[in-house]
Amino acid sequence: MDGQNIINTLLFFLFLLFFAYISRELETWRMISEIEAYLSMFKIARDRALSVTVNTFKEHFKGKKVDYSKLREVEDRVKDLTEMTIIQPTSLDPFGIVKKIKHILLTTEEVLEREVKNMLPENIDYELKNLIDLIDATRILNYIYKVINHYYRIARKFKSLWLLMQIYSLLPFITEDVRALESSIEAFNKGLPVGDSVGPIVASTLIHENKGSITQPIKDTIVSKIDINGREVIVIKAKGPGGTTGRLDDALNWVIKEYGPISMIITVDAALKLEGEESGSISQGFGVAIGGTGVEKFNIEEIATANKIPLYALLIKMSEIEALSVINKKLYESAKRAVNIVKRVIAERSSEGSKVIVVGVGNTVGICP
Amino acid sequence: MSIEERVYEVKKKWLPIYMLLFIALIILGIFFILLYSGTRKDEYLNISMFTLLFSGILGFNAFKLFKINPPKYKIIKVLECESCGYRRTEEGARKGEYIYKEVGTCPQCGKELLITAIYREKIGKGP
Repeated sequence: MDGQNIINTLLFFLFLLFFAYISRELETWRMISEIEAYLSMFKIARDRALSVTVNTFKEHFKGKKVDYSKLREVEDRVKDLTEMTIIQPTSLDPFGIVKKIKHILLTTEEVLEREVKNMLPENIDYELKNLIDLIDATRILNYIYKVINHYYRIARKFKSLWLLMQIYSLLPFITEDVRALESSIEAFNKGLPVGDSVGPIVASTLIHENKGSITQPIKDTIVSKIDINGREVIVIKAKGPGGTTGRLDDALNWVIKEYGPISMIITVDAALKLEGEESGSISQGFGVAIGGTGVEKFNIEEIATANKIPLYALLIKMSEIEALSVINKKLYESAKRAVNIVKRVIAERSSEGSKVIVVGVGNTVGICP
Repeated sequence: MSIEERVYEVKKKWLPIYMLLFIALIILGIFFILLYSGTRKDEYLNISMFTLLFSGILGFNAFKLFKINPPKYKIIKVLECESCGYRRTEEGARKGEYIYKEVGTCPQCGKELLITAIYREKIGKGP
């Protein structure tokens, strides 16, 4: 091998190294620019949600004599509420954690309700719940933006390709969440039913069709007694048309104490569909169909197990965006189909004269009662 | 404006650049083909091939941008009279309207008219 060949080989390897380096730098640059673009979109979504929420609050002051400082105060207060943090209890000793979570959630709910009520110039009925939902959606959008921004800045600070890759790989899922929350703003602002409201639509239709009498033994939750094919059916749902999910576990506990032995519990809820599954398809199952923090699910399972009550579930499949956007026709029709399935399940799995509980799980925004 | 619409807006900004480059590359490609036909040098043919290939890629990307169509929706409200079965649909729902809300009287029998459904429908063909 002569000197020229050695130089050529060395140059070849140098070129190889140079291109390997350049390709990595280009990849990093591409990731950074895409993450930045998405971050700016998340920020716009957060700002838009905040502006809609603030304007919705301000609408309640229209036609009233209020000075500018009051409106400014309301705006600042809304901003403060969107920065609110709910701290989960420690799970170092998990015994009794469900009670602790419930306690924190109830405290948050009560305080938030009181704060929103105090901010407004007059008492509003169900719209208060929609305002709280608006604040919640804005708060989550704010949180998502801040967390992603935090990791992005850390990744840039330490020039870490691996951190960037992690954020980049999560972007499609986070964008789905942001899109879903963004769509929910319109629904909560106007007080229209969302995809997640399919459970309450089923419960409401059952109550309406059978002209059930309504009682409200628990805050934000109604109970109605109806008759279906000779069975005493007790329907539980959140109280509409404000956007709330109610306190279904407490209501169920009350119903069991009040009505005595129950032959079965049917929960109807929206469920996230898998990619490839059809929106609006209905799936039957066993157990408690209820999402959220898991507190209500745990409590209902506890009650059912203690009383040996069979648990049946009806799931209406939808995407995350559909669950939080104004309900579409397909899902609405599925909810109507689910009503017939509930009736069939009651007829097939319970005997005449028995007592059955139907729980319409989900946000009851835009659905009465 | 939803995220999809904003993504569309951001991407749309690139459309003039794509089109400009596309046209420039096509002209360049034709120019090199003409040079090749005059001189019969293979280099010109190779360059013309590359420029036309790049113009094809750019044209395809621009076409994809044209095809992006953010979905638009309208809100539909169904009004029903439960005693006579009268039913009509209306576009749009006002703030404060909800399912099973009484909204006046039935034009056929004069009994109560209820909102029995509120849902959204896609306008046109969207992704």
